[in-house]
Amino acid sequence: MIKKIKFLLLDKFCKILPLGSYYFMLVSKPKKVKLTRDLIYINFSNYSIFKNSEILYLEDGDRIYLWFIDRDFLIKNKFKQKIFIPEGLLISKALNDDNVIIVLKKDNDLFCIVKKSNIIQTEIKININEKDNYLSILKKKYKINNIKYYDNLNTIFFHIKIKDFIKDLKGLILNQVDIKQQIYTISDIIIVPLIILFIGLGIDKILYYSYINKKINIISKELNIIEHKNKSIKSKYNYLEKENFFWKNFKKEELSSPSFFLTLNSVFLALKNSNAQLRFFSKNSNLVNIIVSGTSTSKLIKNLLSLNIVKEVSVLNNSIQNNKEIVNIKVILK
Amino acid sequence: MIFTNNKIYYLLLVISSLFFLSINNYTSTKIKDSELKLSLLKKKLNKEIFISKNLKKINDIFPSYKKIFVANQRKLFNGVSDSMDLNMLQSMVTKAFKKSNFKIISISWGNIIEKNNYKILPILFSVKGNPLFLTQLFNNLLSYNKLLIFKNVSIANNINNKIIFIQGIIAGFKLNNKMKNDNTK
Repeated sequence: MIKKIKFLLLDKFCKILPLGSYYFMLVSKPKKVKLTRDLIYINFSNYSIFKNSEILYLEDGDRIYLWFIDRDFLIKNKFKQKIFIPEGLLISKALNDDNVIIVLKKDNDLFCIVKKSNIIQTEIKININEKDNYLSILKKKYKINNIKYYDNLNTIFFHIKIKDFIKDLKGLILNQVDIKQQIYTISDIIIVPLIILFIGLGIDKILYYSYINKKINIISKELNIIEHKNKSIKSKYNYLEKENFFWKNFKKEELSSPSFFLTLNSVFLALKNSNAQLRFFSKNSNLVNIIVSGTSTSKLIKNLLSLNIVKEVSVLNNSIQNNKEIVNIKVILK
Repeated sequence: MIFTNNKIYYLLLVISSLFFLSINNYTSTKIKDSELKLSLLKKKLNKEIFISKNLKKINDIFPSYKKIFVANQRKLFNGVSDSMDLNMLQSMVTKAFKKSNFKIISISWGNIIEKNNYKILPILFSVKGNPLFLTQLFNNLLSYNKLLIFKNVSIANNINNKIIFIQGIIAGFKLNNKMKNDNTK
């Protein structure tokens, strides 16, 4: 499973060029030369067997591997990938054998890859009928006797280590591959999830909105029922609250001071206890003014202060008429 | 294979994003309003549930409290017009003074004072009589079962003749129309 996922991901960016779809060449690398694609084109494009060719290259010590690819082949196949790995390179890296002639049978074709001193010497397609002749020539040419046969290798499931190709990547990337095509390739990966996301978010909003409205309807109905039930109790409550407020306010404004009857009764009692005679009495709210005669002022004040309703007593005026002391007293009620 | 560069997918992407944007634009303010409405409804419902739970308690206390309030209101004047009430109050006061052997020197209506929820109906009076009948006077006024209050009263005493002069205001009370209407609802 992991191998398949890995392959799918790798397949989006890398294309394994099958044996026979390209032409391989090994050349020596001039010393102290920094390889660029332009340099490769200028120096080696004339070695190609194709009329119009793209070149993949790979530096290996003092050698350069060159793979010539027919440009028509690339255009015809509309490869989305940008990185191309020749199958021969993949096989030689995957199989650890050295000093060997690898013979691969693919369908009805036969291919030979010669690997000597860890360097790919050649990759060629040979005629099946003349297999032995070819092999004996290769043996002699490269002085290798070790021949290994492989039948229909499935190279796409080879264990590829990306790090093996990273340093050589610049040679394996074809610039002329359509950038627009590459953008399509990347956007293709995210386009469907984005469509699903947008539709999902839109539907989520609609569902949430409808959920809230349903909830509002349910609560409104519940509220209507309970409000109807509470209607009578509410009117009772409002009545009690209103009346209570009214009478509290009324008491505060109109009944805050002791009543006239209680005040008069209390003052008369104090006067009687003091043997005083009342000449004048007035009450305005909690202020009482009295004028008395025939008594000791201090005794009267003491008696007045002993009353529960009295807060403060003060003498306003003191005079004598017909040998009788007349006192004007101000009483402040509680 | 779902990965494709087919133009229909790009069209679908544009349509789906427009769908999301329009839905979002249409619903975002409505959702906000609905959420607010929902939270207010929930608060209201909780309040009603609270009231409902206390239903029994209010039902229990209501009759006794109503009795008190109705009794209190009967102590206020409740005539069709203020003049009728003032007239009734004056006749009550006059009768009370006469029954208590107080001689009326003068008696008249005062200016009605409008308070927030009630009116004060004042009767200005000036009388003379024996102080021994004061208690009888108060009892007579109480017998009408109306809330009457003495205001700004002054008493002058003639010691030699044992006669007192009383002048001041006796005030009755009446609910104003607003309070009356509310109570009849």
